[in-house]
Amino acid sequence: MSARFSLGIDLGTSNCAMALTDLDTEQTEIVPIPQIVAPSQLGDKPTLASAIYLPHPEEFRPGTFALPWDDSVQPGVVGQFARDHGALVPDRLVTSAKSWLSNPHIDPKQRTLPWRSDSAEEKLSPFDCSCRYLRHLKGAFLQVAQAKGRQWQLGDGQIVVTVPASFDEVARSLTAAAAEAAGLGQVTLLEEPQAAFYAWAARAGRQWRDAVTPGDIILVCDVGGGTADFSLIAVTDVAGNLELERISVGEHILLGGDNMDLALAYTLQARLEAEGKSLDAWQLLALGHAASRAKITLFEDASLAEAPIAVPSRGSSLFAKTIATALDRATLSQVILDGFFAQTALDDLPR
Amino acid sequence: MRVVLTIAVLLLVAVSAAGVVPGAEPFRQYLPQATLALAILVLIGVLAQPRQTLPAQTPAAEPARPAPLPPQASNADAEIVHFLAMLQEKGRLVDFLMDDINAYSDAQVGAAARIVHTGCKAVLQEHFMVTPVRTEPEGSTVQVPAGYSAGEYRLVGKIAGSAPFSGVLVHRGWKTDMVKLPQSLRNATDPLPAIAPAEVEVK
Repeated sequence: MSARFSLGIDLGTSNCAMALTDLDTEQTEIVPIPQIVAPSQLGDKPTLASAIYLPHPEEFRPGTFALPWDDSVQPGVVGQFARDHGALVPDRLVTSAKSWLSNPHIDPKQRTLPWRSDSAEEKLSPFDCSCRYLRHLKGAFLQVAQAKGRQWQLGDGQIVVTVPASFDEVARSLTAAAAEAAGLGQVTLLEEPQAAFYAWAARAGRQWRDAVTPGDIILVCDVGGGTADFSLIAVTDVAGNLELERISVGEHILLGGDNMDLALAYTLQARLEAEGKSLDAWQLLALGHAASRAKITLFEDASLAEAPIAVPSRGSSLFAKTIATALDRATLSQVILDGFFAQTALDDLPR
Repeated sequence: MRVVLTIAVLLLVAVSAAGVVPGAEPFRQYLPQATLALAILVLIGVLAQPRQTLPAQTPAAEPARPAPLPPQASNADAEIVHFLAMLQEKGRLVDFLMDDINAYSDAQVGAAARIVHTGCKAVLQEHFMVTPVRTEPEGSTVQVPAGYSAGEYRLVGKIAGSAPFSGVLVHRGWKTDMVKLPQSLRNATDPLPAIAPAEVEVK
């Protein structure tokens, strides 16, 4: 029986996403993922935050995090609320579980997360976490499909899960096993840089074959929230057809946009402390978020010289305790461009 | 009924005793009739006993009537409070409105306003599709077309005749084509959510 749909799952370090192609109509869309956004509130988001929060038994009323499509009792809560609330109680938050799958120093099936946490009553293994995200995505996909009136079973389509090019065989087979344990059956694994290239080719339409010639080497840069991966794809000519081969992949770098925001936050914090205004840990996080928005504003509009930043107070008196500062372009260039994307010579090596 | 039966049985005992006790000879001639009458009375009384109704027994500790429950907050109320909670969480709107604005300088209020603006705008954009009703610049002359949607226009000044009306656009208006709020999973008996929970840092 031919497939009726094709589902692509990006099982990301910081965020997961799903794209669906209805093979009958050839329409492709991003699947909105329902998830817990606040206690007893279910909201749709374009991505699923790859975060699990393990609450204290008395923190929330029982049944607050029950999902409409899953009757089984799963530890903790997945998604946006887990990330937001976990920022306030970091000891009970599991994030970046995916990075542990390729870590040679621990057993990914051992219950070690949250890492070095004293508070969590029950810990999860990195494998458990990947399985949990995939299980949530599966339930969400079936729920959304049913709501649109599509009578699909999982077996009616093909499912693709992306993995980083830097994942070794162990990590790849763990991902496939997690998908099977989540009830997705046999999935096809696809390397992320190749997926990105196919997306570029699809968007370029027929012209992509004119944009590349055999012998070209294409650099795919994937700078995410918590990680960065760089891969090289070579374009070759095989019997008159253009073929793509991923020839090289850099090390899985544990740096991303979040690190850039934090670097800006530390720089601005030092400046504020020199002016006599001190920030606690929570305000530093808030400064990071505000700096992130200011960074985007400055990069999008080259005519602005600076972007204002306001760090809210923690208590309810907003006017008295709000701290105001600004991010100027010189600081932005110095911290982000020179700090993270420094210009080097072609034959420079890491020192 | 129990009382009547008890009296009848006691009389029966008394009459029977009269057959035994010395000194009751004058009554002995009435003995058989009296005994028979009383016995039939007791028999009728026993057979005519109505079934024991529950109130006649001591009820097995019926629970004391509970205090009246607080009025149930409907799901619609909870969703509105949750929307306010989102504006507070992301934009600190309730903190802004509940604070005393007169005690602070423009610079302080302005810095706080930036936070409220950023946060509340993000909430608005996520849950609504806010677009202006009219795209022409305010102050320009516009036509309100015939058959216009009455909810989308507020006509001021001198309204006479029939549509189309010509006038100056004072406010471009806002409308939304989409409302996408989170779905509430609460039970009917859950209390209303808090607008902002009290935050306690536990060490």
